[in-house]
Amino acid sequence: MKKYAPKPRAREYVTLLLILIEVAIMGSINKNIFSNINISQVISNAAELSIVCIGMNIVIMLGGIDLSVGAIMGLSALAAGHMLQISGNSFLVIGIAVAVGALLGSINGFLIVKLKIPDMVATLATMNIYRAAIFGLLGGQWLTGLIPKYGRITTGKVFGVPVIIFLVILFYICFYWVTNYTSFGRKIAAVGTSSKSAALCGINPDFIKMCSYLLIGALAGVSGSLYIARMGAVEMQVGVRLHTDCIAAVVVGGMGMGGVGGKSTLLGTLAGVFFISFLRNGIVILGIPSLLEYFVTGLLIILSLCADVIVFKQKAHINKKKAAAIR
Amino acid sequence: MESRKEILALNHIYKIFGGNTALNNVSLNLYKGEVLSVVGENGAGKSTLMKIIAGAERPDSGTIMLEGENIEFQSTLDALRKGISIIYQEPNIFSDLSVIENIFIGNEIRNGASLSWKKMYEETCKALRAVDVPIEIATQKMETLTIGTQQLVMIARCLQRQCKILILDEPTSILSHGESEKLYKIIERLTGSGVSVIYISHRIQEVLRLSDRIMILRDGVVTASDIKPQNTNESKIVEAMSGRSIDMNVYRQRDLSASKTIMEVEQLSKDRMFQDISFSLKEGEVLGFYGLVGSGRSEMARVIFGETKKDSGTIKYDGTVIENRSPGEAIARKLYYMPEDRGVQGLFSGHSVGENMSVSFLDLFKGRLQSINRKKENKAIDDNIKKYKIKTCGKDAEIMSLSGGNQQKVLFCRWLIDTPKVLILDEPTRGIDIATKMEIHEYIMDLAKSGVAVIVISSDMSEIMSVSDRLIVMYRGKIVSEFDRKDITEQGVLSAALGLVQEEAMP
Repeated sequence: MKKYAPKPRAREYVTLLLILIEVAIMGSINKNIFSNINISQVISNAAELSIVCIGMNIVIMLGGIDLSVGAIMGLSALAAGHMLQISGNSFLVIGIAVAVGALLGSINGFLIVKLKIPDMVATLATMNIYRAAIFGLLGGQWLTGLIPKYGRITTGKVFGVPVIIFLVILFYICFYWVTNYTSFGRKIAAVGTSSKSAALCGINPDFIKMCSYLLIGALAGVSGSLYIARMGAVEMQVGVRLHTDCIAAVVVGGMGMGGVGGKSTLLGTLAGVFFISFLRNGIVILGIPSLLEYFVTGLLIILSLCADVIVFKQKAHINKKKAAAIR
Repeated sequence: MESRKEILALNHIYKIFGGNTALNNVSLNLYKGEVLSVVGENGAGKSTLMKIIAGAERPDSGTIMLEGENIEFQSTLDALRKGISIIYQEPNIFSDLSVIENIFIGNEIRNGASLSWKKMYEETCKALRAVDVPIEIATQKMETLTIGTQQLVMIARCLQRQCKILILDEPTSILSHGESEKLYKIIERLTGSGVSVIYISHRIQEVLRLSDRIMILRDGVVTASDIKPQNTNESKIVEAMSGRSIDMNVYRQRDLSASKTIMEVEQLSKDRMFQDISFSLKEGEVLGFYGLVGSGRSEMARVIFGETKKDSGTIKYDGTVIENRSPGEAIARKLYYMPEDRGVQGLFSGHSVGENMSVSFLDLFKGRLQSINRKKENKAIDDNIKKYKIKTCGKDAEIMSLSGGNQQKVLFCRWLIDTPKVLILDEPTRGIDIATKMEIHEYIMDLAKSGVAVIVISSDMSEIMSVSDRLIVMYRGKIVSEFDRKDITEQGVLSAALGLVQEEAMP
């Protein structure tokens, strides 16, 4: 019997190809892109984004969205920073960040699942509330002098390769397993495809959706603890663009909005993260005005979605023809 | 009525969907100012015929003559412009908009670039007067009106558009008695002014009272086309509706006297959906539920399955009173439900046959660390594909690449990965080919033989008659009749389903 293993879809490899093209074009203009220091820099900066994107991938797969991730990451970072000033214990510091993230995420989940507030509106509202909380807690000042013991994870290198990349890969392997090899992952796929059918199969769609918001919150918490290690401080604008980058990365990675077909695209998402990160890096190195960065990110989201819709339609058309040919 | 003028004529209409003949050589004549009723049981072809008249479907062959002219409708709008209006069972209204806006939607009177509200108001008043509705409601929002008045507003809309032929599809099914009476009066007035009405209803008394002529369809064939109400009665009409051949080879005799009762439902009610449903079910028994669409059968099944909540009543299962608060709880008790609409409620499109089949029992294949034991899962899936002869190029094939019949089989197998105690099948063979239908009937008999209690809900008379040990007929949310296999007759069942049998004490 043929052995079956879930594989990433072709669309996800396309994103990998896009990175190569992108880096090649930018590198041909300015060779500094290829420098060891620069690449390490891009990788370390992408770590937080890439971990939150796992959660965003699952949330979008279920037809939802979370705009408050940046603010959640900020509050988690803040909580971790304060904990660090009380105790140097790494478990406590990371633990509090994850706990705060999960709590804030489950508030989102509660609003969306129980109170039936549309996801976009609910998380837009909580984003503002969470961000106000960051302002209030910081009181106009930066929280500085944060040097956690686990800082080596974000800054350390093994044979010239940043250690953080291994952590990111570990997270992606873990969640690749969760989405493809556990019953929980299969239930996510089922609810993401048809919530109604899933309910009639004895799966509780509300529970699965609740879990997804809690999860993205917890992952934003993990990112928060990585953030203080990398920056050594928490400032007002912490994670202010995280949600845009997350959505862009997930979409460039091949996940349509509304989670077309309930398929997980983690490899594509990781590729999307690096696509966005290299783009940002390239814009700085090539000296392009940063205003253009916003423009390009927005354009990318639209282009990716359009491309996916066109390909999807064509595929449906081909399938129809095939079906007709069989009959 | 000697000088009656023919307004619409359909000649030798054929319509085939997939392999099923929906309309087989159907001809229809409609005269000016008359009420023609079309009756027939579920799936007899009434809706298809009306859709053809209203331009929503095109016939495969046959001609349509409107006022002596040969025509071919391109769309419903086309038919509307030529004076044919249809009002569906559930009126298509814009509940947030006012009555005027509803009447003129898509047909606004313009005055240059702007809308002429004054003129529209006047026209609305005229149309409302014609249907006997106070003109004060013209500016009210649609949602503030009763369903009966909404329906009259819809009729007013048709009148405003100068319709010559008005098709009413079961207009009284959602109306109260008083509202229905009012509707009858309006219909009389309309015909008096020269409008022709095609009236579709399941209420035979109503049809007898209202119609000038009655036409009866059965399985897409006209069995009677020119019945005068004064020359007939209820039982004659039911006779013309029934009388198809039923394949009796499917059923297999089993002795159920020794089997124990697995489920007892008592006085189950849910507000307007169904009331006081009581029945019992034995292991190895096939219990059929027949009724017209909207008689509350599926709603009842969904309550038993725990998808929606009941208002009152008890369900006794395996000796104890239970309450399924979610489908998950019902599934844990080995009580399964296969939904009627495989597209919306059943299948996961874009996923493989295998994933579609094992989705209900993922926890059954749990291995270490919550992960799924693929070997076990694949074996169960492959076994089912083989056992139920599902035509697919493998378990990894995309579900939508299969034929409707095979998709249905996948859905059916979903519940057979584990052995059920009670299996509720809601329209198990709707819209699939005959061969697969027979196969599924076989499998139902196999299941029953192995001791599974099966409830089959179906609008398909021949299906329900060929598999059931016992048959319960529902009418407007209530059980009206219960038949043992030996007492089942098509006419008896149909009369009950049409509400012609008075509720009697159950044996």
